[in-house]
Amino acid sequence: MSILAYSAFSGLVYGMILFMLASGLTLVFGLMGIINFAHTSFYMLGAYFGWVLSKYIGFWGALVVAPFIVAIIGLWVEVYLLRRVHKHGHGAELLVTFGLLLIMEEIVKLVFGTGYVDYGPPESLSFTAFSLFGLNFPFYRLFVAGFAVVMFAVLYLLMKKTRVGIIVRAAVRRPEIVGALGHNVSGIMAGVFAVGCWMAGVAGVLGGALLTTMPQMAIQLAIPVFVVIVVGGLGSLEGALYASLIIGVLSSVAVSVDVSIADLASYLGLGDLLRDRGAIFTVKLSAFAGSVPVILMLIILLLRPAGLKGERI
Amino acid sequence: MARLVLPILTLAAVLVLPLFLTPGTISILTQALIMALFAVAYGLLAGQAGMLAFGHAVFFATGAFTAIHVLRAVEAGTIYLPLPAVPLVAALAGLVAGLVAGFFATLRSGIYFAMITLAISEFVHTLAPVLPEIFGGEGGLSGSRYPWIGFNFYSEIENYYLILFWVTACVGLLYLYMLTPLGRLTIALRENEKRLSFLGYNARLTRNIVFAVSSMFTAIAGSLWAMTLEYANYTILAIETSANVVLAAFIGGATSFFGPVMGALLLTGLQSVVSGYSKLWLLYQGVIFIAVMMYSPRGLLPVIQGRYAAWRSGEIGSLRMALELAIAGAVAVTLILAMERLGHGIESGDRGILFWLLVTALAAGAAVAPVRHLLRRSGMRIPSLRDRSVET
Repeated sequence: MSILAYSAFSGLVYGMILFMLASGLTLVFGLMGIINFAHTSFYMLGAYFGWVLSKYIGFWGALVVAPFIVAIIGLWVEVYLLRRVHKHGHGAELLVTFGLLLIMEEIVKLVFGTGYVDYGPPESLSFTAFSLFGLNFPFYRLFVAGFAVVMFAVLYLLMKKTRVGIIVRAAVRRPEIVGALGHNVSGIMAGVFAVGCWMAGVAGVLGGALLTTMPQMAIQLAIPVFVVIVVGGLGSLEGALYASLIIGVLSSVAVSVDVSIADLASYLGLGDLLRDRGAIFTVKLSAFAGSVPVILMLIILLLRPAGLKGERI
Repeated sequence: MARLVLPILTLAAVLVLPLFLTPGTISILTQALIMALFAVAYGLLAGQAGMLAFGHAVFFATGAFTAIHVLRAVEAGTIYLPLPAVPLVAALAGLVAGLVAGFFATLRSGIYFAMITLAISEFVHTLAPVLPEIFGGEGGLSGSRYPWIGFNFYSEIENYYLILFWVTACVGLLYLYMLTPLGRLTIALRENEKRLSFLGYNARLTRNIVFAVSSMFTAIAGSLWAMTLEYANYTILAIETSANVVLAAFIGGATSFFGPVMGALLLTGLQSVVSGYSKLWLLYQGVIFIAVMMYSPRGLLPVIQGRYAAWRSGEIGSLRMALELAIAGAVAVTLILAMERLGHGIESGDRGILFWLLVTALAAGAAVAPVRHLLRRSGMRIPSLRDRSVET
């Protein structure tokens, strides 16, 4: 039980990191109609920049500067790559972001090496927040979750209560009309893209210290993040929040489940039958933890294709 | 008659040339052929049917592991099957896998489709390490080729001819498939799926069938791969496999039938030249891919065909054509040399690489301007990813 509660808490933190990524991705999708495959690459860049910068200007300085650099790179990508291929259709845009995902991993390998780097939470935040059933819960995780909550609140208010938010939401729905009203729609797109990259950068600086900072981190997190926005409903901020938390907690809890399918079946008296059937039934369920998001996504697509909070199919 | 000259010459070359090549070169050629089949099978889905998939590794692996299990079963004496018929079993497995995965993937179109295919592939990828009975765990599975009526298939060259037979047969079959009514429907899926439904066709079913056909031929390519290496490991399920085929198909030109073949041959050829020195191959591949998507989203083959047609019709003179060829050749050679030097330099910590970086950038820049100019004249089209269900 204690393990379950502990991993549920860790899952919430993981979910909040997913949310920081998914919110940017879902906004960009809403506006531009494309999924940015390279979105988690910006997260990776944030983590690496955070690691390098925190050696020189400290963790807090890195938290300010690194996401900013990531946002500038994102802006560059939008203006010089995506906008130019836009006329060739969504397919071309998607393929370009896919190419970026591959390139950025290779560049990071080239510059920072193929292994993981030694990037951890700063000393000042490395203390125990509280004890849960005798297990110490690090304060840094709480800090990350808190930061993400604040970010969600700010983003939500920005989108729902301010003039900027109204224009962005309008541009999502009817870009031509917003353009006809005199707003610079491509400027809005570039801005939203940069903000999304900035958020991915923040997630990278915070999450890189919590998870592992390595060249494969972009691809590893890409699948859960895509799953989050599909499950939450493409383009929906609230949906992304719910889905992030669900997937974070489920994948985290699944890792700590120490039973196999055969063990479960033995409650029905079928345990030995399945045990003889082969390895798949005797493997601990925790080994399937990596597949949890994908299974959840397939279920959602079958039962509720628009996602939890999606408005349309 | 003139149309047949090029195919016949190509066929003669691939048949006769290996007799004069070293085993090392033959094995590169074998790889190129397998990649070509993989890319054509993928191109059928992504190019002809306009369904961008990012998880074809899973079908490639289906074929590879089916073949390995058949080879092992024959070795153990539980079944017997002539070696050249092994890909048939893989084809069946690929067809079934394609029908099942396609059922889920074709629930949605556009971006959802792309992501479901990626997710299914990653799903199997994460499962593979915990299922050592099927995927062989860390060590992978190996099985050897065995003799059949006079051929022993032990040497590279005998295997090469086996692969050549299968690849030619499959590419030929796919070409014929495109001429059938189902093949025309496949193109109609890309052009206007909604109209297809209005005409009374079951678009969803058609999509599922095309998906399954594509994965069937992908599985054949996978089985040839495993039979060549006599080994398969779950790492072929990684995203790199899917990425490779996407890159090959779109660099060559996914919407044209032979574009993926060209892309696969080009990439495998380049890789064998460059990556001997360089760990940077994946980076180059990505950069080439983005450059093609930016400036020539239909791929390279349609551009070449367009220029050839322009020359044949007298729109551009022979001198102009020769000049363009010379420029393209010079840029390509410079790029290859630069790539090779760059990789070599980085590995040995040589400072001269900065110079070569500059050369690469300049060559790339020089390549961009004429290519852009060429493209501005030709209309281009690429599979649209708009979610058709919301399209009005």
